[in-house]
Amino acid sequence: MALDIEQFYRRYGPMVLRRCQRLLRDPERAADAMHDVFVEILRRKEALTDDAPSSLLLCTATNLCLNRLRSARRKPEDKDEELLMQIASAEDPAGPAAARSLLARIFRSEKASTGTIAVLHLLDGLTLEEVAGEVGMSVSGVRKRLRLLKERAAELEDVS
Amino acid sequence: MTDRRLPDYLLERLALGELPKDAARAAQEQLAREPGGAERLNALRASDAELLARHPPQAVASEIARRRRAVIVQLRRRRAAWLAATAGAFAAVVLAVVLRPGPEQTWIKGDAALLVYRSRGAQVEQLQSGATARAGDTVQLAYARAHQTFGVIVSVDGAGKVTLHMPEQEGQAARLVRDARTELPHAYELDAAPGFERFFLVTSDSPFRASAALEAARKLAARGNAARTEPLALPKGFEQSSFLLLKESP
Repeated sequence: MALDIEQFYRRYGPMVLRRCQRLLRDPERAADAMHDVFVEILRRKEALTDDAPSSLLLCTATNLCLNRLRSARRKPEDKDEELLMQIASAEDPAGPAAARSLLARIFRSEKASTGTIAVLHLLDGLTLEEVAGEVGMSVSGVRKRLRLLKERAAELEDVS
Repeated sequence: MTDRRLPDYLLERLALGELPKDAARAAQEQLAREPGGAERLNALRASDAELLARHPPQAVASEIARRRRAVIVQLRRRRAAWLAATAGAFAAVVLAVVLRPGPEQTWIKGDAALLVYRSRGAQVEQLQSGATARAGDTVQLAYARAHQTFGVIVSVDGAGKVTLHMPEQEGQAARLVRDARTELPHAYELDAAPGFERFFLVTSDSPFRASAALEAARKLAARGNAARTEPLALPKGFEQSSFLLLKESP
């Protein structure tokens, strides 16, 4: 799948940037992350088969921002940010594995990262059914992932 | 959840027309029930225009391409680590030059072509067919302007040896990246085989086994010097292009 970067950005860039801004709360960091989201997608464009890339871009942006939040470990400024930090910290201590998992899902070989699932449900407000549709899993699979995440971070019990 | 506000996530996908049919209908109904729902779509479009003005597509595309090349170079460096023992620092230089920015890297039209880059000492260059090379040179292969779907790259050397370069293992032909310059995962070092090294890119719109190209290459290699100039004998439906490297005497 050949991609014209400029055209691709024209269509999806604002959406990705808004996503990164929502998660990172910082225009400069969001713009930086947005560039890297497209780099991630382009890195594997040969295998990109989805004809509705918005879902893949949003999930990639979510995962990338979670990784950045995990690295930054800054003090949350509100409840949403606190929730995000908890998800980022709790998801998988081996961050790169989570990133690999998401990339693999993007290219249709594996499931979404647990952190992405948690953000879609807990922060974005998607129903379990909608999350399942977005990440290509069963509702019970989504529920199980969320349960595992909660087990890793007991504090998530209070906000879910 | 019927009274909830339509999540921004779904609104984005709705605005792009990328929600599945049923989900799109449900989202539109939800938006219609929401106070100010219709305005949210308008606000999104206004935000699109504002963000594209603040981050112009040409500049962003250029920065994405720059970062992408940097990432690829990093990956190539990892993949080419095996070269360190023989080619040392040259590997990274080869790859940096291979991945030099170029507008054609994203969109290339025309006939498929084999590209060969050579690192010798501190010098890295793209070679033209018929160029000379010598044992110890590090060579990176790439292809461009592929308009067929499947491909194999093989080489025949002056000693009659046939080597498969793409795919990395015998089996089905590789699926080609169309309209983009694509480097093979590994550079390699030329050995001391005398005379020449000739590379063939064999392509087809139908899947085929690498053995078809290998077999044709072996037959040509058995004809000695004819392998410098003659094409591979391939069935109808295949296309081929070749690249000749002449070997300097040690």
